[in-house]
Amino acid sequence: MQYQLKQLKRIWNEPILFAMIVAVWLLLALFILYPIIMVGIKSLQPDGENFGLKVYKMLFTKKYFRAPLFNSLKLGASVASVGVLVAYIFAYAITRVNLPGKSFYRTIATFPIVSPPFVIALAAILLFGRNGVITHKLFHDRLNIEIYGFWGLLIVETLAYFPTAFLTLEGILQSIDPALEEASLSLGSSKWRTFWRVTFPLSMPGVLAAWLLVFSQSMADFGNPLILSGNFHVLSVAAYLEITGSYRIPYGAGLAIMLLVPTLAAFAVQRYWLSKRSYVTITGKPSAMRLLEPHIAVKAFFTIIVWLLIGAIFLFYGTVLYGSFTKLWGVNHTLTLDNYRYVFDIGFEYLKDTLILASIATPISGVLGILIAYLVSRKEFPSRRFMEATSLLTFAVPGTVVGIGYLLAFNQQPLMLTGTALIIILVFVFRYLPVGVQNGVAALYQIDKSIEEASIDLGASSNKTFWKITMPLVTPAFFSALFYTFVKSMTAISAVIFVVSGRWQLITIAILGSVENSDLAQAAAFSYVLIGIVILAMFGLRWITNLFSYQERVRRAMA
Amino acid sequence: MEKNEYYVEVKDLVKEFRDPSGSAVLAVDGVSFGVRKGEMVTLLGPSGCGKTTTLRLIGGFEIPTAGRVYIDGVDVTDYPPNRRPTGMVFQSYALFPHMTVFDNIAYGLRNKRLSQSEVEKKVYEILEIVNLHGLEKRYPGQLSGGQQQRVALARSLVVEPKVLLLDEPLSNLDAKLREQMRVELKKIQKKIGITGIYVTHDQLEAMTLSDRVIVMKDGKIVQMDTPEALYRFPANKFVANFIGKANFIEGRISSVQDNSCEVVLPNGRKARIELRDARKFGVDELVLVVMRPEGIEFSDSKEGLLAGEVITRIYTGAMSSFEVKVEGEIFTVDVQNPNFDELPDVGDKVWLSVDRKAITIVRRE
Repeated sequence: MQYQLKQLKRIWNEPILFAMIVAVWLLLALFILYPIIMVGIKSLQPDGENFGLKVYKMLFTKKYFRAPLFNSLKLGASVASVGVLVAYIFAYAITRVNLPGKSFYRTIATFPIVSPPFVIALAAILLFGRNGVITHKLFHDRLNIEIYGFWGLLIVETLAYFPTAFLTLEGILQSIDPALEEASLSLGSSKWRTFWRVTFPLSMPGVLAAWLLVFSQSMADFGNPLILSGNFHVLSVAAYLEITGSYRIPYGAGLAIMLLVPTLAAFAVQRYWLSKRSYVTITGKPSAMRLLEPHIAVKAFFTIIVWLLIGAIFLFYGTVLYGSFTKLWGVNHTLTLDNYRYVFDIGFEYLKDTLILASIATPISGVLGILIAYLVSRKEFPSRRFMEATSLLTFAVPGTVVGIGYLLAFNQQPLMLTGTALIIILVFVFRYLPVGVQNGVAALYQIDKSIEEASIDLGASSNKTFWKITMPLVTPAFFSALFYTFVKSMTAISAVIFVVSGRWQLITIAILGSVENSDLAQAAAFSYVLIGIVILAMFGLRWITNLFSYQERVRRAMA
Repeated sequence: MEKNEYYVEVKDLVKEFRDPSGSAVLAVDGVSFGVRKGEMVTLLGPSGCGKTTTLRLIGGFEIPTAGRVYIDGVDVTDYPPNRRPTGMVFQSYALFPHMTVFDNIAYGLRNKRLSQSEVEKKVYEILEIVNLHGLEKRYPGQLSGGQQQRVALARSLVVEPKVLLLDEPLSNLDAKLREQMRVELKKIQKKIGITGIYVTHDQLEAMTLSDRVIVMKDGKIVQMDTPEALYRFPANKFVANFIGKANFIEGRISSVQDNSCEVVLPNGRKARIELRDARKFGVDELVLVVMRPEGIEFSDSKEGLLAGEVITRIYTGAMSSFEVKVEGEIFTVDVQNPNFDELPDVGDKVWLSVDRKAITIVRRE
């Protein structure tokens, strides 16, 4: 207690720092905590005024409401299990097995992370739908595949979310010292036994973390189930339809809370429980990789799995690309540029608005994220840990919940934001804030704390130290946060769909409209314009990082 | 003690940390000492003794749980580091990797809003002093460890702090370079005449560089003395062991004078031992007799103090080191400039005589 008073006294001596902490807290409270709390409150007001538990009673008793909860959990668990299995094999192949063409496989496999969310679902319809090339053209409808529903979603979400699991598992496998495996081999264990007794147990925390991550992503997924779920209702879509279709706000809010609880639990377990149980200390530099030259059959197994996966990604994205140049998918496959003409003509407004809003939100989100990362990892003040947890919260909160929260929180005075561009920007800023925070914290972790202490010791204030020393050193992390925020803002749908209005159009909403009108070729063209922007942004990021990072400057000076 | 005798003064400093399990750990436990103007004082101790935390409390990087820090008569305990007249040289150097050597050194001067011409003048002056001129356009990544070390030193010195704080500045250098820098650091410190507090776990560094050494253990000060007094009159077994090498054997005080006392060894022989404060021991008290390995010689006659048997002998060039079993204890005996032919072999029964200046006593703990 007395210690905290001393901390406060210190902060009081640095008014700018103090003001910054207060300002950050105000923003976090208003734009992260308040909307989520509003969702909870509304779900407890069945008639909109008096408090009661009627909504939850209905949610648990009526089959109509119970089904989405059950379906979402089933889908989430299935996608997580299949996704982690696939990702593990893939990550093991990349980190441990001597395969040629690794960096190429890696790039392809991680692409779904930055691609628009429902491209894979779109591809599934183009391939396996009523007019799908495989179901309709190749097998003339004799193949009884129902792509709308559980199985379709399982395939699509596995392809969409296994990359996240892959990155987690790759990181953990890389950080396991190969010397441990060599020690096991030299003590007489076979490679098979070494894997099960050494490698796998060491990577177990990573496996669980990846599982929880994919589980949450699948639970929170909105774009894919919206166009592919058919009669298989899931929570995110059910909540959306309750609110925008039936105008039953308390029930929509209740469903959103049902969605929030498991994802929050998964996040909490992963972050606060699992992270303490890791055997592997992440040193920041992966230990020197030593590749195994396995038995030919083993190598063949890994090669086939990797090729299958890469092949599936190519098939899906390729189909959408091809589809974007066809007249009418499934009927008339004559090649044409009409779809793109439409995108840049009628769709130009959507494109422009999305670009403007994302471009405004991105730098704000990035700077705020790095600032919070700096405060929580470098400054001591009361509520520091709580600030970090709050700023990372939107990682765990499904977009649907955020969207409903914003809808409920900001449609009355004094904060009447519904229908404005500002509310969309705010959604972008605070939804992708965790990326900046996490990148920042990771980058700061790598920078010796005494570098900043040296600056302060030499008479610079905290503020000056941040801009002169910290910021230049975390530039690469900052730009990659910017890139991610920009891409995610461009491709966002689940949260913003609740706050968009006629005045400000978003490209993802346009894609959704095209799909709903069964104009799949047009949706494909929109998607590829979006993919084009993402790829441009990627090159932009590389260029800008090279331009501004001090590592580059030092490298040039040394050359 | 006069009121303003000390330029830097630390009073009853306490720093409590919470370890991951949540229980409190006292890193610094009631530390008080003073440093005179122009004096170089070293905090010496094993890792975890609280020496670095003490230094960081003086620099303002940690907030003390209790206690005050005064610099030049001003209570700076509640000041952040940028408002304290201290300059810190970090163990990792903490050079700004995105700035050139010049910009690194100029950083503190620019914070003081000095004009560009003044900044340049001072930077080039200090570059001259630390022997780095010509390297000002390089980045830290292009410098050797020793050069980085000197940039870090220059960067702290150039702002002319009232106290220079050095946190194990040589520990990242290899042995040869460390020796070189130790001498160079001493020269620079004498040239500038700065007041300094130096933290190290290397007793050789402490002895070379400081006017006074403060030995710490478990967050507390064990002994505060000049290097010579510390070596000759260690306060207890810990200090005797930590500063140099020492052999211990039990003894019983048989008589006490003002500046010496007489001890009876287990073999019945008596030794007269010079001490600063012999009166703190009582007659018949059981004590530990401390003998430095380099103060022991093999003697031909049976007139030596102790008898033993040689167990090992190791030749290291400048000296030979022997292990001798004496009264059930293993003694180390170092012989400088050894002439191998005249020295005993493994298995030989030998007599040891001990130089009076290399023998002292401490309390049994």
